[in-house]
Amino acid sequence: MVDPISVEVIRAALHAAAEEMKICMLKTTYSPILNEARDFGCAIFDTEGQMIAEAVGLPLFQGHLGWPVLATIRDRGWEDIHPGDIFIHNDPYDGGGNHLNDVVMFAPCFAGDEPFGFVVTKAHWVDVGGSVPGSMAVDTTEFYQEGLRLQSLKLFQRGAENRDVWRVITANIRTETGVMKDIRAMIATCHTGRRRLQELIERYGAATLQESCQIIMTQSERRTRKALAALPDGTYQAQGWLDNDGIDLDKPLRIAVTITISGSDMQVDLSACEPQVQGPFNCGDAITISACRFVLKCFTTPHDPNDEGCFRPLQVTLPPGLIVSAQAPASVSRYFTPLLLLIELMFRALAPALRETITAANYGDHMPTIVYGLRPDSQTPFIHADLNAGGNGARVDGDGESALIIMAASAVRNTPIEVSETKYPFVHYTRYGLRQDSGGAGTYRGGLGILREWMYGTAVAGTFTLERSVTPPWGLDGGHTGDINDLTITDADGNSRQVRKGTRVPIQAGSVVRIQTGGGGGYGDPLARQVESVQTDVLDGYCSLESAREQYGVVLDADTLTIDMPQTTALRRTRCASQNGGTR
Amino acid sequence: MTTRVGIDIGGTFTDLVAMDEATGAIRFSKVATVPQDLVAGMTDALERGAVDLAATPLVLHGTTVAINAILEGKGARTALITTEGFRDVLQIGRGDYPELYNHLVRKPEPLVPRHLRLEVTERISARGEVRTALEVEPARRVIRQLDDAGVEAIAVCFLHAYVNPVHELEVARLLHEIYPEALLSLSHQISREWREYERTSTTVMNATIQPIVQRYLHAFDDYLQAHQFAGTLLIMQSSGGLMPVARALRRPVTMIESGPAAGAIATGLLGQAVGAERLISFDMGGTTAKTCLVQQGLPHVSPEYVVNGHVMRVPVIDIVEVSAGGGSIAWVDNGGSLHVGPQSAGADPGPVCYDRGGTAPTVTDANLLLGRMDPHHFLGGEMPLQRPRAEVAVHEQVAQPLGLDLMAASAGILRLAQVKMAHAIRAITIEQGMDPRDFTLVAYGGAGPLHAIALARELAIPRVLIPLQPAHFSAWGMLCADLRHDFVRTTPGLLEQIDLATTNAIFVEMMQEGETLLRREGIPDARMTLSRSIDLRYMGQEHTVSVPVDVAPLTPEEAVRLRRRFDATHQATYSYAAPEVEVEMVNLRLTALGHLQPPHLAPWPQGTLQPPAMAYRGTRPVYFESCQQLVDCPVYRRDGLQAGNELVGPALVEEGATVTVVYPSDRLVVSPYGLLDISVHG
Repeated sequence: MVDPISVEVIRAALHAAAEEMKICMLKTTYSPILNEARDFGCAIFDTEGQMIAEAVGLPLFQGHLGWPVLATIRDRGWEDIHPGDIFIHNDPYDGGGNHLNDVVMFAPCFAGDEPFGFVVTKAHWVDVGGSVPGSMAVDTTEFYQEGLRLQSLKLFQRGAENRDVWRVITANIRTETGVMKDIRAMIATCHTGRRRLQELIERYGAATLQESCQIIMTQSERRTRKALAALPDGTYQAQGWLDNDGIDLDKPLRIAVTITISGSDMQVDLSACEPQVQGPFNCGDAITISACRFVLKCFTTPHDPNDEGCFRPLQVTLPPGLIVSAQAPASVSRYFTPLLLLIELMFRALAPALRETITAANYGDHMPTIVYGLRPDSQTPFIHADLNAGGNGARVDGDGESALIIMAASAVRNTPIEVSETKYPFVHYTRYGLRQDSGGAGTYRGGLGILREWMYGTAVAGTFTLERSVTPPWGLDGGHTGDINDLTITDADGNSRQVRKGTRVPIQAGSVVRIQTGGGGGYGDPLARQVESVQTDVLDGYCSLESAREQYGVVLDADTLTIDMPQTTALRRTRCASQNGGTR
Repeated sequence: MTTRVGIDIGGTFTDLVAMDEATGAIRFSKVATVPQDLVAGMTDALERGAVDLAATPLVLHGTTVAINAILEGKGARTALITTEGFRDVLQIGRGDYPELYNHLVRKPEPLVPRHLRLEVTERISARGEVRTALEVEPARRVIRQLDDAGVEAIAVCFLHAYVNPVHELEVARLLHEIYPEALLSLSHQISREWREYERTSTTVMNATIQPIVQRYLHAFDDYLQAHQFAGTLLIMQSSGGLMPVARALRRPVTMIESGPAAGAIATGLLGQAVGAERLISFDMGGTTAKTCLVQQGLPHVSPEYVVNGHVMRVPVIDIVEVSAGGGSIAWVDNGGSLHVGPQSAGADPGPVCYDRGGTAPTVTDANLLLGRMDPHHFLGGEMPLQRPRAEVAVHEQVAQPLGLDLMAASAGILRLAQVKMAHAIRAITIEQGMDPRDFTLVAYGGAGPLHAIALARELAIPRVLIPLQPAHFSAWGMLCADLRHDFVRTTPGLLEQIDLATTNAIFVEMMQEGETLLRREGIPDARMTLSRSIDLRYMGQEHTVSVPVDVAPLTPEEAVRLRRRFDATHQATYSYAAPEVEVEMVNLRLTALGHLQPPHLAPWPQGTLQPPAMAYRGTRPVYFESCQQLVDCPVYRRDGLQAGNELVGPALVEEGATVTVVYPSDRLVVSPYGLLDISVHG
């Protein structure tokens, strides 16, 4: 029996090893989407694919990194897994769950001849082949159009590079994007993790480590169960709609979730979700379960270390063939969109049980803008991509946060304008600010979205995907909806067009691309918002004078912004009366 | 007789150290900090320390005034002027969640409210060309909006001003013309690096603390003048270097973290005295433990720092801090795991054994139960420790829930605290590609010597040094600092295509600025050190590695050598190099040091191999984990030991509230300066 002190020492050492992998990724990768936007995760697993430690990273990735490992063990058998091997895997339907760009790389660790576990990292490759640079089209209907599918391939065999695999990769992806250098960084990360884990095995012995891991997971399970048991038993439901699948732009898609909490168990039933769709808004089951794990973690033990034990009380009912459990050859390049809605719906469903911690809806999607073309000077290809922040929903006791990138990608960051303009001197930004009036009105206001405007000095093409450009972020408890997302391209001649979802959208030199992201939903009746808060919002330009009057019933002097109390009281009284009349 | 005086205002205490310049004799005094009136607390310290200001040529000063203003949200009312279309950069930041699984987390409140963030029409391109000229009349109208805003400070940050500051300077002229009294912070003068959010945040931080720091420094200066002080007042920066008051008044953002730096500086000086070039400083107090890498006498400096979520791009001593101090509380969670910290019993109520109302078991209580501290000799016997109370607390709250006996539970508390500290040291060594076996650990702070050797054993550090008066070592460190000015310029481009003329011109400009400042501060050329470096990275990477430039002016051959040094550093740090990949330059850096006369280390009374009898206090039972039992352990008084004395562990050396724990078979030698110099066998 390992003593409890050693267990804690080992827990700290395992998390430090995962954290060191993360630092290695951050410091050695080449693509801004990895080192600036941090679209990657790192974790350590045992031989049964159970996560024993993770680094602070992209949470959606980390909840399911065990599946690619399990898929590989299943495919290859332990007899084909050796010290010095490094595997890569991105199968969306078996173990991956997300788009082909998200490639898992992992290395087995051994104690003598006995397998001990795996160090795993998953990162977004800026290109993985397929029909468009960046591999993230919005009009694909089969994964074949989206790039290379890698199933448990050995990048290294017993420490030696498997040149044939390299040749296939280099011949089929757009290497000018720098992705090969990122692969080097991922390898360095696996080496770092393996070295650290190997040191721990030597120091403590495999048996002690394994036993400690079991105890660590049991403790996490116990903590999670205690948090679950504190919630009222019951069945909680919510449903919402995705805008469309990118092919049929007028057909909304249903995401529905039923959560049952009984005792210290949580069951999530997703069988009522839309069947898998033609366009690339499908995902595989592994990442869907990961999303459920993420939500469970958030409302049970957000401040404690994360490992497989945290997930044991969770059971997910997920029949195959749904938009969130797609089967080959469903296209998946925008796999995250249904998940982002699913996560919010799970919170919404749980609102009666978790009132204090549930917010109104967010802007919904980080909507990567991916623009590509040839550099005007050298005529070499480039990809200019960024993520977009938006508004958070208001909460029971406060306004929503403004300009945050979506929660499920919580460590990712935007790219500085000064960096973008230096790397791509033909890009010119003209505005980057908060979007007035975009937050849903409420006793507590939704956070504001952003407005970003830029142009290119050369003709380019872009791939865009806007979610919640039809269905707005919901409010709660009488709070209003937030603004929807919008992307408009205005040409030099003044013609403008809205883009909801589009692949290879042509953009002329000098055209202005403007994205306006949505705000969060409001919480509570706007007429109950403190008049002074409305006044401050107008002073700071979060809210316009008109909206103060229309949404909040607050009348301010246009020049001095002083409150006209008699008019405000009268206006609010009238509004209140008509509201009550309306609901009767 | 002249004295050099250092005063460090910390959160709880104000430390004063006065050194006789001729003999090196040191006096310490400590008074409680007066948070509402820092100057009052400080004058109290000066009076108690019986400092004759008329005979003091140099007062060196570290203070929490700047960081307090930020932590307490009491910055001055500040306006920000930005490029049209970009006033919200400060609020949008990088869009990332500060915490992973906390959807209710709050971003930091911007230090300038939105209605005080104004935009003017102007635009500079990434190459530094004027893309849109500054429109003067409209700009003037925009500025006049501040007429009745009650603003005390104004920050200006334009896009790409780090390449070409012409518009920032033009707006500064307008601002001066309209508000001659206004305090201005121009981004290119505060942080000449790219990344608009980080630069804006740094500039705003400077602006918002500037009026407060100015009032404070003026009040302090008035006091000094009133007491016939005719010397120089120097202010400690976060970088560990000193600056004159005039510069502190303009760049207060550089003094945000001026406290913890001093211990690392002192470590450097100590290392030079004993001929150890590579050191790890380890400072453990009541609430946290801090560690820093010190090489060739200089602490490692990082280019960025975050306070309350606000980012600052200014050099700061790269200190890794973990919540593990003497007062850190041990507790068992509902899953059955033991934790130490982050909560701390602090000094009030303090550990259970202080018997001042504390009920939660702490690291200090565990030390007491294991026999490592003497209940009767703590603080020279002034404050007897209550062992029975500590026993009950550890038994009920740790031992029983975990099913351990009292000794194992107490040892477990220490082990966990030590693991946290060991991870902090790993982060500054192993994770940076350095091997702790090449280093000497210098331990100080009240609790540092109790844990230093356990840490050294854990990390295979072969040598530990314990300075005299470890609890005052940080304060002494202020006397060891030099004048320092840091300069940086972002000049993105490929190293292979480096424009030597431009690069050298920028280096010369920074050098001249540094030399001019130091000359003005009275430093002769012979006492200046100017060091240049370039931040390099493989094309496309985000993170840079700062590589020293050995030759000035830079030559094509040196550029090639730079490249090789970069590959080698990258290999050593991150286990791979990519000699085939192009290397990108990001920043040019120059550090100008003006060396002050370092303090004397006074020689310690010389003895023989055998410690004198008066140093021996007898034995007491002490628990060593390696022996898994209580061992009869000899105890010595530090003030009785003489230079040349040797001890072999197990042994305890007591000094005031501090105990050095020497483990079985470790060898301790008292150095000529009275340091405890321990060879760790591990």
